[in-house]
Amino acid sequence: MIKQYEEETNLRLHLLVDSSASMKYGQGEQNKYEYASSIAACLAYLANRQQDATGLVTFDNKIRRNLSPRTSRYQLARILEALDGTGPNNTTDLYAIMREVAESVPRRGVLVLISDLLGVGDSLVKALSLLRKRGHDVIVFHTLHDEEIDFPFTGATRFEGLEDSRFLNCNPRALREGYLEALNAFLEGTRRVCARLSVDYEMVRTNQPLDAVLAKFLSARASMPTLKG
Amino acid sequence: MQFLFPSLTIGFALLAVPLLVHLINVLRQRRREWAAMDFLLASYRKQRKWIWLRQLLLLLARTAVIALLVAMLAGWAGRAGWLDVLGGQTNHHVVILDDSLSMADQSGGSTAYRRALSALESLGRRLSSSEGTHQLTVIRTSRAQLVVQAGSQAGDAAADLSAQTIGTENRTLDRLMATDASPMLGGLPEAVELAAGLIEATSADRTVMYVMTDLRSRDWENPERMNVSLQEIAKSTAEIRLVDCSDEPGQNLAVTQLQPVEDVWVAGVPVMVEAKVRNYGQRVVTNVALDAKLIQYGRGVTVPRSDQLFSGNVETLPAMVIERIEPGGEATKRFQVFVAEPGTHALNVSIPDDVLAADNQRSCTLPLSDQQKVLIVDGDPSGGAAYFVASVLNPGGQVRTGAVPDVRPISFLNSVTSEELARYRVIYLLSLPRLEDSVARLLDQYVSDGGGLAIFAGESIDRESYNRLADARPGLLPGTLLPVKELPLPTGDATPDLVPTGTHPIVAPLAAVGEGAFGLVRVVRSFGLEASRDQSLSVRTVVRRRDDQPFVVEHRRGSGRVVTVLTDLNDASTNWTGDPTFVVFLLRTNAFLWSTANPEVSRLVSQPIELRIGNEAFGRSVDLLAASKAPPRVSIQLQAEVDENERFLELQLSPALAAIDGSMDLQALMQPGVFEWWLTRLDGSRESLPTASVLPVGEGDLRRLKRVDIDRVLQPTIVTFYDAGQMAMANESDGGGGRTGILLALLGAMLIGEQVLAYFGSYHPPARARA
Repeated sequence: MIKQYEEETNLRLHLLVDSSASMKYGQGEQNKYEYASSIAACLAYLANRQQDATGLVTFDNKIRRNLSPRTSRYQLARILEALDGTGPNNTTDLYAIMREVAESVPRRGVLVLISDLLGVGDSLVKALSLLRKRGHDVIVFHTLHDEEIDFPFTGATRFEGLEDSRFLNCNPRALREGYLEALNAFLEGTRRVCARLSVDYEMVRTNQPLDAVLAKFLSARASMPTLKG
Repeated sequence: MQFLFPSLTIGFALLAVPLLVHLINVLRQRRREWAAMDFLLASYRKQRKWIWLRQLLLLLARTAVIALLVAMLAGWAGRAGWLDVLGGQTNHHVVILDDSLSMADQSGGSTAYRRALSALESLGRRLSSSEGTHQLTVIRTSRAQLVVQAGSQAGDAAADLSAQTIGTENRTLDRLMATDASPMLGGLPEAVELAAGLIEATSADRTVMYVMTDLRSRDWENPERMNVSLQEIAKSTAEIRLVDCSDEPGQNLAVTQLQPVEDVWVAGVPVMVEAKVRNYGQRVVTNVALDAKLIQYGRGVTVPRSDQLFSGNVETLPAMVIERIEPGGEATKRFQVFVAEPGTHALNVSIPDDVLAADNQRSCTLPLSDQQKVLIVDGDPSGGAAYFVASVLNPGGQVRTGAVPDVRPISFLNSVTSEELARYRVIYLLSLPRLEDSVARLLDQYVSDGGGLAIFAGESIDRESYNRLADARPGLLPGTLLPVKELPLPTGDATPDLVPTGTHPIVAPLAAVGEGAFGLVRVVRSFGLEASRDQSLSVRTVVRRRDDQPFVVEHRRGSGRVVTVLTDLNDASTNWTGDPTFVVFLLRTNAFLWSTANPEVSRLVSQPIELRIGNEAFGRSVDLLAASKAPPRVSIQLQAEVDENERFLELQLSPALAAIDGSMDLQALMQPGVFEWWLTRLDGSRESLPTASVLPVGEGDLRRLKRVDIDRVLQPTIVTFYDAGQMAMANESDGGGGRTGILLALLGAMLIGEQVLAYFGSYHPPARARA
């Protein structure tokens, strides 16, 4: 005779939201930081309903806000308040941040990184490796604006860097092909890194409906013990 | 660069528009904050060079589009070889520029040559603004004549421009505009001949030959040679245009001759000078003033005066007037010149200016030597005949004939050398019984070198010996001596015993008197003569007997002359020695034989100027002061060359060679008038030696041939006649290849190119954006 049962466990969810200056890109709801915050809020809401402990870290080159995971009914409000109170600024130092997070989270948990990953360079590999070595389940929401993916610009344009003082005067049409080539190489590289480290990777465009993004993500995680829809 | 509508060229200011647009775009670019700068910069770094190149090409293409558009609208008509290569045809324009002397005819205002130059200038201007490639060849007739004279058939050597592509600036053409008519005669046939060769050798789609000339009758009197060349040109499908550059000619007189009469030209002996003036006009002219100048060069003239027409002392001779010259007629004026100092002097005569100024004066030199010895050898030991001759040649007192008789016995000839004989200007052999072969050889050489020999063949000579000599040395004697012939006694109203041949210069003064001149002369007998048939000797009878037997004959031998009198001077044969006509005859004979060695007194302008001076007396550096219409005169520094024997310094300036190699100023070299050689003696002092250049005779004849007659003469060659003034309006546009069409095609190509560049330069909005 076979007995079948389902074990309920408490999940510790860490939401890591990139608040560097590059996340400022985009207007209104399609602003990358806004979009990342929305993802974080939704996930926090879902986890909170399941009585899972949910924490939040917003960071650029430093940790700006750090809320330890709790199951309290007020945790969601604190998370929302923390997201709302943080403005995108500065550059990103992903590895330093992740090392700090890893050290401050002794128990294994689920770490959700919501970032555009721009300007992180090789530190992405090191950061994800570090988290994975600590036994964390890592999920990456790679948040990019439509214009960053399609580069639809025409006419003489002066592009000025959001995270530094670099700029370029150019005819964007002339550079589009090279740009897309470099971007795709970056995306492909990121996907490969995540796959190699068994990190769930989800590339999201800021014009995608949030529910569709989350539904797709959650259905993919359906076999997971928690975070089910 | 020339345009049909120059005012529209202001549109070229629009060339700045593409650049301005580019700059404005740079200034007006949108600002955008961007996160993914790494990818953007990576793309930029990778494509930076191509982006710049494409932008530059695009800018150039847009500029070119505007330039072509404006050029097309403004009617670009200038020269552009690269453009013509694309579609224009090559046109070869060959201009025969008649610059013979008659082109200096000023009838109707300016000279015919000036009209021809204007026509050439307008042709050049028109060609430079016409469509297609235009090559221009210009051949002056004078240069063609000189080049052919030098033995060359190379049209390139004669051409001022040889198939030269015409542009807006052409210095050779500009230089041609500064030339004048040459002093040459004719030259059209030679020029056309050379042009035919050039046309054949030059590849062109279309050839037009322009003959810019004055249609003088004499140029078309013997058109055979020119006709052959013209037909050859016409066969090569070239179009022939005859451009009439002259007006109806006015009255023209020309000094056609100036030279001292053949005589002994010795200092201190008056010299007769003969000047001839021809009336080339259609009406009688009267009272023509003839101004003569004597320019004396001597030891006192030591400084070259380039600021004056002559360095010598100029003496104006008494004015002369020619009362009347019929149309086509020629008047001769003789005047006497006396110069006491030996040396080469110069003479210049002029008549009042008319439509052709160049032939209104003429120059010659007057080479006066010191008195010279003449050798008299008498076969009669008593010396009777020698006395007659010597007393005529040296009458004594103040009278000078220039000759210093040197009476020698026959034995003198036995040991004489050629050098000794060369010192004598004339040799008289008076009835020598025989001539030894060695002596005959020396005499033959003496005459051949330019000496004068008078042989009196009296009865005492050994006729057989002389005849053997005639056979052994043909040319020294006029022929074979026949036995002595008695002159029959006169019957009734018979003519005198001796009759002069009127045309011979020795007896011309006597012939002018009429038959009565020899009325008192009696001839009993004289040798007969079978004159040599050798044409080169040109044996002429000077005086004949009443029975038509020759009495005095003259013939040429090499450069010299021989006068043979077929009688003795003793009373038994004739009483001529006692008659005044003998004195005249002997003096004239002496002058005739003397002048054999007279130097030339002038040369034609086209002939070489030569100098030959003693090597031991002068330095090699020589200056030549060229003749000129007006001072200052050109001074040319030269170096004389030592001859093979190192006895003489020689120099030759050939206009023909100068025309080919351009080594000298041809215009200066061919100027008519008095040139002065300036020599430097070894002691450093200077000496001048004048030489005269004269115009060929005939160019003063300005009569014109009607076009219809020329047309007939040139049949079957088809020529088109133009006036010089019409040249500016003659149409050349048929030679173009539709430059406007080419520009339009280029414009289209440029526009397509610009679009392609813009597309690849990513200046076109993407299809998605357009949609």
